[in-house]
Amino acid sequence: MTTEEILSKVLGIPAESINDETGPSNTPSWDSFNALLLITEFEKTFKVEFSLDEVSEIKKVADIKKILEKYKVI
Amino acid sequence: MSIKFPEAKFTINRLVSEHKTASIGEYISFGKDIQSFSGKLPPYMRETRVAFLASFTIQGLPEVVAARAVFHNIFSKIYTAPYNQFNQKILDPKCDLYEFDPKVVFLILDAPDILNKDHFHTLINSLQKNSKALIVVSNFVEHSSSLSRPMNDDLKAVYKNSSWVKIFDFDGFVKTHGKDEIWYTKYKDLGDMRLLPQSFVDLSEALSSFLISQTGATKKCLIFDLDLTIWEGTLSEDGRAGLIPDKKIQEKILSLSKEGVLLAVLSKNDEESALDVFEKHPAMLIGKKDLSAWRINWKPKDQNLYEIARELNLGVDSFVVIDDSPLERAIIERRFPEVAVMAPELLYSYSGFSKSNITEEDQKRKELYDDERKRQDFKESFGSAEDFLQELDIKVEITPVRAETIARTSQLTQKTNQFNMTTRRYSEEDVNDFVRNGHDVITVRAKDRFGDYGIIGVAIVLKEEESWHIDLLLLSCRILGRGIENALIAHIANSAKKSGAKLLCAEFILTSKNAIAKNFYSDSGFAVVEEKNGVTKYELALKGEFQIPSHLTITNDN
Repeated sequence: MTTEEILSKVLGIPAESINDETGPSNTPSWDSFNALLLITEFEKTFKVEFSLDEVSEIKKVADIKKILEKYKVI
Repeated sequence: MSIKFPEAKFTINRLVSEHKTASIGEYISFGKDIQSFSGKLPPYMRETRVAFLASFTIQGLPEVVAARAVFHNIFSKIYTAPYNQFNQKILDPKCDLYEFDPKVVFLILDAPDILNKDHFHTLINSLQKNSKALIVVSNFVEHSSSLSRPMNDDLKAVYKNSSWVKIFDFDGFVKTHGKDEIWYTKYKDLGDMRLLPQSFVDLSEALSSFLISQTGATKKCLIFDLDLTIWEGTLSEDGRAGLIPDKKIQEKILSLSKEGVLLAVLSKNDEESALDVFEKHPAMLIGKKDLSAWRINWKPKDQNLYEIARELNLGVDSFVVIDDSPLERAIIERRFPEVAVMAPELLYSYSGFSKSNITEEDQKRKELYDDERKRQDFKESFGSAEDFLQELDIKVEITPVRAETIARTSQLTQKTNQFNMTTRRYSEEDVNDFVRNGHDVITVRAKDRFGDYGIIGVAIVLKEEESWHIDLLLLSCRILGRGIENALIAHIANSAKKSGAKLLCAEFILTSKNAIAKNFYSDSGFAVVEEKNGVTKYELALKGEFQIPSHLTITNDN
């Protein structure tokens, strides 16, 4: 699954509507629970472990991508 | 999204077949969609009502259970008790839990949230007294507390033979799935998520067994393919001697047969040589005598399945088919959405054959309940929600904000979504401004027998001579249902009255998340003065003294 597919499935929004600026502030379904769900889904799919600091710094999709890039999985 | 049948069956079948890779997010949204289904169910779907009460965050689990239940031909309406309110809900006979009239109740508690063994017995008793539901109590995860094991022994001793209280081996589930992987992970402290959502699908399959036995959606017949399903190799290519029977799956199939499940074979093969394998292959565990029916030929499998149903005189909705070929599975599923069609490896964790052991005698449950209560030797330490709250020994501190609590105050205005009357977000600077301009910023701190919750509530009150105005009032949802909100409003009203104000004004601004707080001001005696665009304005004439709930000990140092 791609980053967009995971986001689309967890947040229940079309993959096409997702961009780097998508985040809790502009996506009603991105609440605190779905935020955790996203992290656990990314961890499972890409076989990485996010640190709690990384988790708390996520404000938009670009931040998730930055972390995944750091782990060299995308 | 509106749900339709049989499309809903195809969706869940796909999610089940995706097994380990299925998105938990997709499961949850499917479970939510199912809740809004209002059409006519196809005849093979059974209905039930399921309540979930847990002492930690299980957000998402009820939806996954509802989704998974569709795979078992069960449509389940769900009720989830608000976070950390299981005690109040269970002990209040008039609450929405009992109004919901559950058929199955899942009680999932963690030992650190339990006072003593009388505590959970009291809860189970109250559930029995106030509902007709099958009560499924999860045992305690041993890893959480040294008290888990003795409490589990006690649970077993008391309810071992009960027909209406069932114990789910949650501890066993957590151990099997890897305690370190799914229980008390690093996410525990974020939103009290003690159980990792990625375990919800497997947990739902395990919990489904109770829905299946309660609704009677029990499968009666297991139909299996041969090549690459119960043996390795292909009969037509490798010959009988070249086949390696799969011991593990054959043992599983035979154990189901011992429990009364009928066995049948559905395979594209030559009938005679296939039956010879059962009789002549030395490593075969399943014999021809174990089979109730077979269709071994080259006809389409859906047609053969229909013939097996006629021969055994069973409805196809009581059939389970395991087949290694996704194509064959799809052919059967499209023709008969009510058949459970799976890849062979899913058979091990499959709950569809769960039987009800509730006999006619058990139906006289009132007597049974009385007997059970006699057997149990425990005192009901608190018979009502009020008693329980009394027992908790809740201490509430209502004080003006201080320099060291400004950060937390601002944070609560930013983060609290549910019990938040106006959802106004304030920075630390904003909070400072209120204080500088002479308004009241009040913080609420609470502790009880389980621990200190810290600051869990904020109110901001704008003071004018004649009338005070509540600009913001919020409470963290982890502490709701304990009367603390009532103490807070009483505190504000009493202070306003004391300083000579005649009127207390307030407003409620509806958002997508704060419906839980909608009636708070009306319930507290405020009158609606205006209502438009989702904003309701209230007034309260300050006359009598406001009462503080008697189970709370309040301290304030103004």
